Amino acid sequence: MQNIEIKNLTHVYSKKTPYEKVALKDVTLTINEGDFLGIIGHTGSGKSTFIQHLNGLIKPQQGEVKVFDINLTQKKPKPDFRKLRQEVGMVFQYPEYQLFADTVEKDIAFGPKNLKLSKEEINTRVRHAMQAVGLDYDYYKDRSPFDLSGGQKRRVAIAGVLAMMPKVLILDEPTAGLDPIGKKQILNLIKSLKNTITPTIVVISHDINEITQYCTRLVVFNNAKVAFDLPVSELFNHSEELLAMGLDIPLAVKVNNHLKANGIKLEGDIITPQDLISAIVKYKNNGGKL
Amino acid sequence: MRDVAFGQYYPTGSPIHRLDPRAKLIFSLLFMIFIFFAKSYTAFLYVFIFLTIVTVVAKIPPKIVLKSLKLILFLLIFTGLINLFLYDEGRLLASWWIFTITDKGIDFTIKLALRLALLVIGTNMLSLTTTPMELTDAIESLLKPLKYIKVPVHDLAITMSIALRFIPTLMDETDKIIAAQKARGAAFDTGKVHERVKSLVPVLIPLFVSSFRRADELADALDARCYNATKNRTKMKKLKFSYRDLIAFLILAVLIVLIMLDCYLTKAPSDSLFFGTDYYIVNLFKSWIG
Repeated sequence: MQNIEIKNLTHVYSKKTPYEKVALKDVTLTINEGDFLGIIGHTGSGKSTFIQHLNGLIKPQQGEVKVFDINLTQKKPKPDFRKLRQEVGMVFQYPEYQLFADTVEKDIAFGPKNLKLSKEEINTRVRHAMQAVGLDYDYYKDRSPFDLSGGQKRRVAIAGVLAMMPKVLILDEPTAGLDPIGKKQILNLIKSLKNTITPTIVVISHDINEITQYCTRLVVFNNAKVAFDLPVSELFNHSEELLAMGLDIPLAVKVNNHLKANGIKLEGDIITPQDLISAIVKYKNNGGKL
Repeated sequence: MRDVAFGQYYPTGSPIHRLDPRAKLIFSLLFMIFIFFAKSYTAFLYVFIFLTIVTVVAKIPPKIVLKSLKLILFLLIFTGLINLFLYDEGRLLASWWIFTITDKGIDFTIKLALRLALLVIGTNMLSLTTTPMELTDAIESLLKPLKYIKVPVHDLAITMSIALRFIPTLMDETDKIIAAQKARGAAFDTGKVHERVKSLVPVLIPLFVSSFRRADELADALDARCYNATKNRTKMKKLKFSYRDLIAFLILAVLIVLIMLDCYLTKAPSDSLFFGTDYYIVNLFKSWIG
């Protein structure tokens, strides 16, 4: 089922000034229900501008944006932004900088409160969201979000978005600036969210090794355009082009390419380190020599 | 928002942009003072020609120059109407209740509007052609004499330039926080006044928190580089007066001399509606027509 449809979307910042900058150029993309979509690209390649279109934070200048049955391009009647923002949850870069309330509970309740839900409903949602991000409700609810560690703050911020119960979750660099343990926790959290709360997830990341571990489809933005839109298993057949764009490719793909160049052919799709290890074991067991 | 972020600076690299910022600052002050000596339409024409020359040389589109008038349009109309209806000297043309329209009133109104408009356009030229950083340097340099009476001029200047430097950063931050809270369903442009004021809390608190964080980081960074504002510091970009500044000054001087000649040397009778050179021109026309 198609959830989000973007057609020929173009966006220009500071139009008709010396600072004019084309951020998106004729972007067409469909996001389906159940997609685990990764978006990669350089800083300034248009990814952030793109995702902000998806919940109406940037209004489309040119082209079409349709999210579920909400058409963002139509002028009359005005698109229902409240409903849109409830259905598309957005976790920004460094989401902990948006925390403001004096307790964790109040901060997470901010979203549901804006939806004008009943007290009981808000409370269940807060409990649910905190459980989903792995924070004990009774222990954390009355603590100040500003006293928590970086990783915990980020989880509170993500819970704040989850409490809106979105159908689609968009995360912009969810692991930026965290230590390896915090990164791993957030990654596991995102993976588990996919199976429990939000069926469709879109993640922006710089770290190709990280994003390939959980996304099934990758979109590459380059110079305000979509350069590639492929399943993870096919994308790295274009390794050369990706490298030419200045983007990285996963370590396992690099190793596999080297092996290939030296006449060692491994079987199967090799994207993650785990793939590589099992492929090498299989190769050895079949009598291959390294 | 970009408007605020860059000041109004409009980069074209013209000779006017390359003038010494101190010179431009002084020229602007002179311009502000002497435009109040312009009392006849001829003098306003001189000023208009001068500004046209500056605009053309600076390569700034007239549309951008006129944009500054938008902000004072209300003021212009408001003061204009008050003057037009409440000025009661001169020959009566029309009257109703306490409102009167006189020939001198019309004359006064037009001149006041012209003076305000030209004043704003002229001083705006400074911010269109000078970056805020250059201006700070210029102010520091011009205030140097105050050092002898123990005014910490350099500290003031560095504080000012840091403040200017962080305007765009804070604007960006504000945008991001607003976007993040909007994504959680916050509404900033609907609801009653007290609701709207309340809706700013989730923006202001994170903004303050991050400002303090930035200030701390900046102070550490300054310390780490052994910053010391009290000793004699040298500058990377030294300000230097050049022949260009002299030429610019001469052109401005011509304008000032013309205005002063018009103001003090012409001898129009005090009961005449026209002042300065205008009087001669009107008389000349009268004698032509007969």
